Amino acid sequence: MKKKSLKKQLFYLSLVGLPFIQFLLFYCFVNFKSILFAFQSYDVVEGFAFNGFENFKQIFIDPTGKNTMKYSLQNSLVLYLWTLLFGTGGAILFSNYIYKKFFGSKLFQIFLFLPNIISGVVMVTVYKFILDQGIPLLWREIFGVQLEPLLSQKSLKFGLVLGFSLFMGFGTNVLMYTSTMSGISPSVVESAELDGITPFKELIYITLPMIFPTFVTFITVGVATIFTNQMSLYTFYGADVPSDMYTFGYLLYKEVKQATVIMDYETFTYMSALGILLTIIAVPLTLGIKKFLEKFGPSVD
Amino acid sequence: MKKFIVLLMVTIISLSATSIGCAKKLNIDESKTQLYVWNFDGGVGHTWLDSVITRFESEKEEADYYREGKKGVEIIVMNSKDSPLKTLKNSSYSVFFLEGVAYNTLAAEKKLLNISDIVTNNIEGENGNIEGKLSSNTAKSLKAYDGNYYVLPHYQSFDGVYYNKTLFDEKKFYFAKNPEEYRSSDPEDPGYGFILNNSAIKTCGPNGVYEDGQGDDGLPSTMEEYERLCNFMVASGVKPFIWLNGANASYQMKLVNALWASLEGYEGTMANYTMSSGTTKTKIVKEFDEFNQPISDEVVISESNFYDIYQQESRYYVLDFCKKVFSNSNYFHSDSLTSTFSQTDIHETFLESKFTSTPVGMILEGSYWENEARDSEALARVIKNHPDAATMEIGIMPLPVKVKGTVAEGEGRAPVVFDMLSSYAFINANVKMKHGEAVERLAKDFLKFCYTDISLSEFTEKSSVPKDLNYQLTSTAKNNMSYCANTVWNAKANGKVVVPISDNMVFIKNPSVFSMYSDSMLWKTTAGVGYSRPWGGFRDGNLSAKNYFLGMKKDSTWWNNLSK
Repeated sequence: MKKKSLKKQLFYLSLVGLPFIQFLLFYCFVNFKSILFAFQSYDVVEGFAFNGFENFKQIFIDPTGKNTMKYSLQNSLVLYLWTLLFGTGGAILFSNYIYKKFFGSKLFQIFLFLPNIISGVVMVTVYKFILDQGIPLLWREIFGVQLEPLLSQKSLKFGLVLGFSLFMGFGTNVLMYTSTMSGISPSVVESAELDGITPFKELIYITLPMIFPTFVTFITVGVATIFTNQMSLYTFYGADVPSDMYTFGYLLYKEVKQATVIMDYETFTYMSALGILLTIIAVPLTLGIKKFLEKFGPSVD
Repeated sequence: MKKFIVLLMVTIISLSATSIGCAKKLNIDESKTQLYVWNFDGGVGHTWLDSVITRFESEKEEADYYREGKKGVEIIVMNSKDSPLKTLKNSSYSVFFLEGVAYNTLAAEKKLLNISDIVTNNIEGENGNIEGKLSSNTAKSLKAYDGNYYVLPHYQSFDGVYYNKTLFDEKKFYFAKNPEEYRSSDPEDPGYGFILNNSAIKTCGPNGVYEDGQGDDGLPSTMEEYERLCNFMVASGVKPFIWLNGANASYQMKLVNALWASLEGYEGTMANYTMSSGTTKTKIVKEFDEFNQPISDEVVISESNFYDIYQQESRYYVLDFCKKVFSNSNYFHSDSLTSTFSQTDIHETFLESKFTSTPVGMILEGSYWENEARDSEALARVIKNHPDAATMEIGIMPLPVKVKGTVAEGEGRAPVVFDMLSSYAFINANVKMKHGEAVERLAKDFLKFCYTDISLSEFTEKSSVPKDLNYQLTSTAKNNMSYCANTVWNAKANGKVVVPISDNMVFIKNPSVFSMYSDSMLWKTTAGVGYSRPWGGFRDGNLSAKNYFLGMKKDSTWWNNLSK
């Protein structure tokens, strides 16, 4: 009996041991250090020292000196709204299309799942090739005029990257919604169809309430990532993104990456403070929206 | 049974996951003392390291004084493009040759071994020590943290403009000294002022020394001439520039920084890091006249007025020139805008362009570019298709030293070039703990050996790039080096190199403001939506040079907020 219990424990340990260590190291330890950094200052001679709330004050002064806080906030919200509208709204419509097995639904399914199968960097490279080499080449062949690579055109930059970001997230949403929709009891749908329901009304009155828990999850997760989504900006443009294209996710990623290269721990302290501040905003917002949707959203009943 | 299979699978997955991180067992010679060396295998490559190791191992063939019972040494090298700086503390490697080394921070973290002894003790067979080969600013800067040496300069890369001299010769892209030898006598003609034929006497170039038509003779000596050269190239069907449109616009910065250093001069450029221009005065723009021309005062820079340095007049003229180049696609090859091309692609396009209908005159690069083109076989591919490419001469271009007119004989300046890479060699502080005292001695001996006159000359011969030390090249080395490598060496030997390091504590304590590796303050503007680099300001923000320049202005509040 004892031997069996030991075996069970070993089996359990072998499954959760590594992930648990990873969680401790890469989540608990990293976040603990970030909290410490947020209240410290650093210089190469004195090392780290307690700095009170100075780093938090610096955030409002804008340490990068390029209005990045203002633009980051603006673009992070724009990105979220587009994700909400297209990423969630569009995904529900597409999922419904696939769920109802309309024309070409299998093809769309494969096409939309591609970004989730292929690595993000590969997708960015393919996208870059299409926009910077493919389209200008096609344009020249058709119109005989040399077109500037699209990703270098200021007026198109933000839209193209935003579009890519939405496309990349679209597949996951469609996958999740489709699988939830496929769980809807066929008898409910059949009964509604016998009553003469239109496809649109079926979506509004049957499908949406049935997938509402999944919808809430996506909205909640979306709110939680408002301040961390970097929109693949670094993969596209590296460190040279105009400040009016910044998102908070990009700002945090880029500043920390650059600081790591030059071992500039002072930037770590500002960015840790910024991270904490954004968490303080994101946590109640996320929980609040979740509660609100659960309370006022449609129910299966 | 099911559980057994699951357990087996988990074990296999865990083992395979952990074994990914294990290096394969090295085949080492147990009779010798081993030293592990990490070399950043970028543009400079590792041929130089192979040579120095061969000589060192041969010299130490009979050495039995490192480890008891062992004779001779064996150096094991990791050539990698990764940076091991984050894992130094636990690394088994003892000697490192890297770039992007924040040596003050690493020294403060006790990750570097104090190597003052090998820097200050005399080198066997030479009349002096390594310290004597360091420039005064480099020596002061390297020991600024606590008076000790922890690193030694490794390779230098002169960022700037590399021009196809063979193309320039063929197209006669040189300024003529005498009006009767001008290609065109019409000042409105783009060819005005350029040589009519190759026997015409050229101007003396930016250094103000006539070299019988060689060196920088005939090349633009002022910003005005540089713009005329570009216009003439465009009129002749030649694209003036090409560059790699890397993700962070760093290649475009090679033009900006190189022009600025050349125009401003050594003292004025170095003052951006040392926070003092000594007794040299630099021109600071106070206002603009009705024709948008800057009106400047000549001032000496010190800590009390350091913030004024961001309004150096030279900066404005560089921005004015770059605005024209970056905003007009006539001035650059269309591949310079495409983000999907690699360095190799750009090298190949540049090298091959001379044999196409769209020749390119100049490439924005670092001194290592030729090595890279050779390693990637871009050069070999071009030579295969166009055998004449084997004799093509491409070299670093001496850049303008004045704004208007032409530099007269005796009034020029030796080239001033920019070294950007923060490349250093050092010994891991953990060497004794990891490998014992014997290997610490061996590491020091090896590093010192790499800085003997013979090794330094051999390094440049094999890598085509210099080091930030004073040394001579042997005549054999010079003969074995390419035309380009020789021009790079001459720029160092005859000119001055701006190495952006300093012993000033404000510089040391504010790396995010002054480090060339980050979004540094050097070209940051608040104009428009705020830009870090002129490329973005001009292309995305459509800023004028004047607006960009005015947005770079700083005041005493900015200075007071820096860590001191």
